[in-house]
Amino acid sequence: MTSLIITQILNGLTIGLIFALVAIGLTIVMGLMEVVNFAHGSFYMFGGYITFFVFSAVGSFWLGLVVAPVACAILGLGLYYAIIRPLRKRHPLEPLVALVGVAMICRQLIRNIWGAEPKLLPIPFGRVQVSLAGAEFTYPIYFFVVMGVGVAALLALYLLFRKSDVGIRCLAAIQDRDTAMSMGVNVDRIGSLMLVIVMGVAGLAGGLVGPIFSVYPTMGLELIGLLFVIAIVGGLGSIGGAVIAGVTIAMTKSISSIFVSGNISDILAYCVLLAILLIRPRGIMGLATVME
Amino acid sequence: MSAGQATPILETRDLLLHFGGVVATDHVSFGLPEGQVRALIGPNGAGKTSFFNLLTGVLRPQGGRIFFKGRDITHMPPYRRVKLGIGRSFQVVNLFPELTVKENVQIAVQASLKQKNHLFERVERQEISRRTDEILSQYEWIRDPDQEAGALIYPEQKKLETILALALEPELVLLDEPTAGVDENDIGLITDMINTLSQNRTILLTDHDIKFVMKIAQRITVMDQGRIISEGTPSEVASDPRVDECYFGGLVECQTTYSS
Amino acid sequence: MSLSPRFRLLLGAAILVLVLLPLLGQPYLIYLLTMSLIFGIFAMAYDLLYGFTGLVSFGHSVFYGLPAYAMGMVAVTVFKYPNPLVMIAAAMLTGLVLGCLIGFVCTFARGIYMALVTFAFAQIIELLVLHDPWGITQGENGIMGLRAAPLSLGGLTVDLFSGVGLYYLVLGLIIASYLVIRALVNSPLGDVFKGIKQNEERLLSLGYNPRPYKVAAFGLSGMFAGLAGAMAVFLNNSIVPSMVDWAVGAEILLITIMGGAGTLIGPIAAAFLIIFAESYAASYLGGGNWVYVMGGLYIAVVMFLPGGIFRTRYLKKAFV
Ligand SMILES: Nc1ncnc2c1ncn2[C@@H]1O[C@H](COP(=O)(O)OP(=O)(O)O)[C@@H](O)[C@H]1O
Ligand SMILES: [Mg+2]
Repeated sequence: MTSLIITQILNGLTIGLIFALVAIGLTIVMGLMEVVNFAHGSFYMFGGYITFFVFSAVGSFWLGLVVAPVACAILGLGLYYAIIRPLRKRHPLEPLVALVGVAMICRQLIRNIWGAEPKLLPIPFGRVQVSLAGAEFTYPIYFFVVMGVGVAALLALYLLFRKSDVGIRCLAAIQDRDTAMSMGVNVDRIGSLMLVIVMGVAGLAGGLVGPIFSVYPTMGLELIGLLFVIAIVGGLGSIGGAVIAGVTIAMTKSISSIFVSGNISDILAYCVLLAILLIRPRGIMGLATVME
Repeated sequence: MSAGQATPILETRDLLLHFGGVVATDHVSFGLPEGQVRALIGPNGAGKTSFFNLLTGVLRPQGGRIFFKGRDITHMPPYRRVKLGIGRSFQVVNLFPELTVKENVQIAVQASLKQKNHLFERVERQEISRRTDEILSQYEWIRDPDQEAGALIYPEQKKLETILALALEPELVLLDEPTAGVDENDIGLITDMINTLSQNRTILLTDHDIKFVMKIAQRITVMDQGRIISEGTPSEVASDPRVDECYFGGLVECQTTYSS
Repeated sequence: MSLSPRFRLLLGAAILVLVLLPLLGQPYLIYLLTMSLIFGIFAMAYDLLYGFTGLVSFGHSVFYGLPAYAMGMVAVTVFKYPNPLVMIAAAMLTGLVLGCLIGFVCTFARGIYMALVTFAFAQIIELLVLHDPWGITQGENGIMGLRAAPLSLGGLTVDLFSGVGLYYLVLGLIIASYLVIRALVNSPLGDVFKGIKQNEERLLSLGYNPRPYKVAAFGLSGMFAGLAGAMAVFLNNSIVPSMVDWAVGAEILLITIMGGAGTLIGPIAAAFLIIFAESYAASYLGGGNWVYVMGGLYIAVVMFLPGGIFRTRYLKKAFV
């Protein structure tokens, strides 16, 4: 039992970090441009499929993990100039409608190219013997690698927003767009740069989960709702908040799934979200007034 | 109506508000007798608007208390204060931009008719539109009541702002710079509005137009850097050494910029 | 506010066409028309909340789906009392009560956070319907084989499961709903709704507590959404979990925005557009490729028709 619980905690941590990684992109785009990027999940899916494509073409999963973020970043730039920028002066829900259209098209595109069936990427590395809190069990090394990569990526984002000039400008614009703009922050340029970065990160996350969940056309759409909740509950522009929210949700799901069926554990996860929303109506780390 | 004899309708004790390091309201104790027309003046950033926001509940103080008609309203939400009889206008125009002028007034009239009643109690529609039309007909400048409020020119929006506050028929009216951005003729109009009104109400207003203030106010309170530095009749205040010359000079300058 | 004469004429002509279309005798056309009208009612319900009161719900599927299940409980699973009037009343009441409840809870939060609370509710309810812990929704299978006596309305008898009969009933209901909602948004209560959308802070300073009004907007919106859900049950003769799928709520949000939020007629027009486009694209393009048309439509409308099909800014006055 203990080993099962610890395994589920480790799983929850791994998945939670992935959730956080994708959700941060949503909060940044939402905070910076007031765009509810429904197509964000599509880039997560693209990341998965591009990794799969590279893997099946040249046989290297790791090369796939490098190509996926780069390709997604470029696609992200395309999305920015095709959809987001032209609609930037509209009511925030109008770009949302267009982006729902984009997400629908992306899913069908993937379905037409690779079919509806899930594609499983083989899990690299073997399992390792773990002894923790008196329990002995084996755990896939790859999950630790994912945690490592996830933490590294989160750290990189953290440094970007705390130490780099452009990151600080971006955070300033998220907190108060008008003031930031009047102080010479070019929201437009930062927006395109941020879209490149966060889409790359989403692509990386999609590639990383390939060996865990496999890749399939609805993987992005399935997750997008949960990602929004994590993004907003975490607080706009807050990396720490997204990690807390993402890990909380993933943990709730994975630990409760030991005791109850999958449906009920999902219900519990949403109840936790509901509770957080009602107790902290501005998100865990809310600096957000932007969307009110 | 002479000041000082009537009971205070509004009173603050030691009211404190700061934004980070900026103290906007610095332990202000202030009393306003019923029926008086009082002006609150002071340079930009003195804390007048913040004080109004505290009185109406838009902001909550970090310390001190507010009493209205003897009741502690410090923690009361804004809408309940309105129901008790405090109405206000905003310095920066704050209307329903996509509703028509008429609908804007209607909302206020509806609120005033409902004030003492229950939330969803039906207020006769005829009564609402009768009162609305009555108010609208008082103002010649309103040529098209079906125009969107956001489409009015700024001075008209500003006047509508004041009309909304008055349409509530509150016992205490707070007017935040009613003449800012309106022209000379309108200042006369607003003066008339306030004079008519003041017959059975208490009025607290801020303004930068010192001529207007001197004419309309029975007493003047001077605020600077969140503190009340002087109070008295217009002539007392004008000759108060604490209200220094250059400050009054500044006000006159302000007046010329606004009316140009 | 009154309708412009030209617009009255247009609306009259549209109704006339809708009345005459069944004469073509094409059952599938009738089906699509009925579905469009149902989504039209649903979209107006959403418009009341979003377009007029400015409140965004990401969980409107529950106000469409759960009332349907309430009908199922009345007619099949619990009370076994298939009286059509009782069924419809149960659906509308469920929508109203559910709207007030969710409205009450979610308005503790504001803006996007409020919308997320509605989303969390929708997810929980969808999962509960699928999981069926109390044995009333019949899980993934849904409730099939509804029976209900014909509905008699003052001499007129409507067989709710016959295509044309139901079509005319829904046509009557959408006109009635339009008139009621339009009267509502132009009433003093409607003024407060619009005030919440435009400037909640000012409303507070005029002595209104916006919360009960928000709850009321949710309740009323839920009631009309429930009416739409009820009609969908008669049309499809089934109550399936996909009715509470949050995608339905998302679709109605898209339809409302596409049509032009705050215009009532616009969302109805958009409902027709989406239902017909979806159906024809699906039949001409095999293998799910109709999604390209729908996705493209969403993008194109937003790109080229700012403010929706019935561009709010310019035509709102004439169309409300
Ligand atoms: N929302 C706010 N956040 C931070 N500082 C504020 C805010 N509102 C007002 N202030 C500050 O409080 C002080 C008083 O402002 P205000 O009440 O608007 O003065 P007045 O109305 O007399 O011009 C000023 O220094 C102003 O900068
Ligand atoms: Mg001021």
